[in-house]
Amino acid sequence: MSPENLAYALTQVVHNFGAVAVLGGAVFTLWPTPRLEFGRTFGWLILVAWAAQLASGGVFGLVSYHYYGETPDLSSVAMTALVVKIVAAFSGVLLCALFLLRGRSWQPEGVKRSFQGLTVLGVVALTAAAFLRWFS
Amino acid sequence: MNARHFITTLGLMFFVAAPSLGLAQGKAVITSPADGATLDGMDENRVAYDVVYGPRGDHAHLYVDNKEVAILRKPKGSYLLETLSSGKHDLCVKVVNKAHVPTGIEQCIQVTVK
Repeated sequence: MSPENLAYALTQVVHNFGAVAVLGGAVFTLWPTPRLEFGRTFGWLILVAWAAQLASGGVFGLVSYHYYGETPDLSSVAMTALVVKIVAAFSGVLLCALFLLRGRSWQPEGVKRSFQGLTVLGVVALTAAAFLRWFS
Repeated sequence: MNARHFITTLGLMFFVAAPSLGLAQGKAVITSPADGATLDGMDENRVAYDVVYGPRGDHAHLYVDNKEVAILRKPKGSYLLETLSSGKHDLCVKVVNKAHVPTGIEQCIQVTVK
């Protein structure tokens, strides 16, 4: 087993589970039955998942740099998709942090909107990931 | 040093040394146009290539003046270039890994468009 492929694969494991958690956590809080009373638990899960997405994304670059001395060559479409993913991830972290810090005083409608926003960010990031994968 | 430490040390040495392994295998050849060729800007100009990915490569990228213009998923083929402006241009075919990182196997040529 090549250590290079192992490093990429283990990073991909973290990235994939992070993707499941950012979108799945937000959707599961809202659908099929709203579970806003567990919002803080899911908020922490989604915060950690977005952080894992950012960290594992960076590790992909570090693995490449370690083995080749450079980072991936991306086309303009792929680079745009990467920027969209990063912006979505930072927005997700900020929205989660805001909810965890101040959400206790929010009305249920505000909590619901937060998780709707997190759902949208997850959908945007996963869509961008597909373009990043196939337009590079 | 017990056996476990020895195996761990050996594993770490392999992991650290791995960047230098396997870089020289594979090839990337631009079969057409030839290096230094003059192209007619009004013609349809194709880059024909022949690539052997090597153990670390997955596909190839085509670059015009250091800008990626195409993903080459077949090891041998050709790609129709968009109209090039007059003057000298660099064309490169680089083998990349699954993460789109150049593996070091590449060929670059320079052409002149008139």
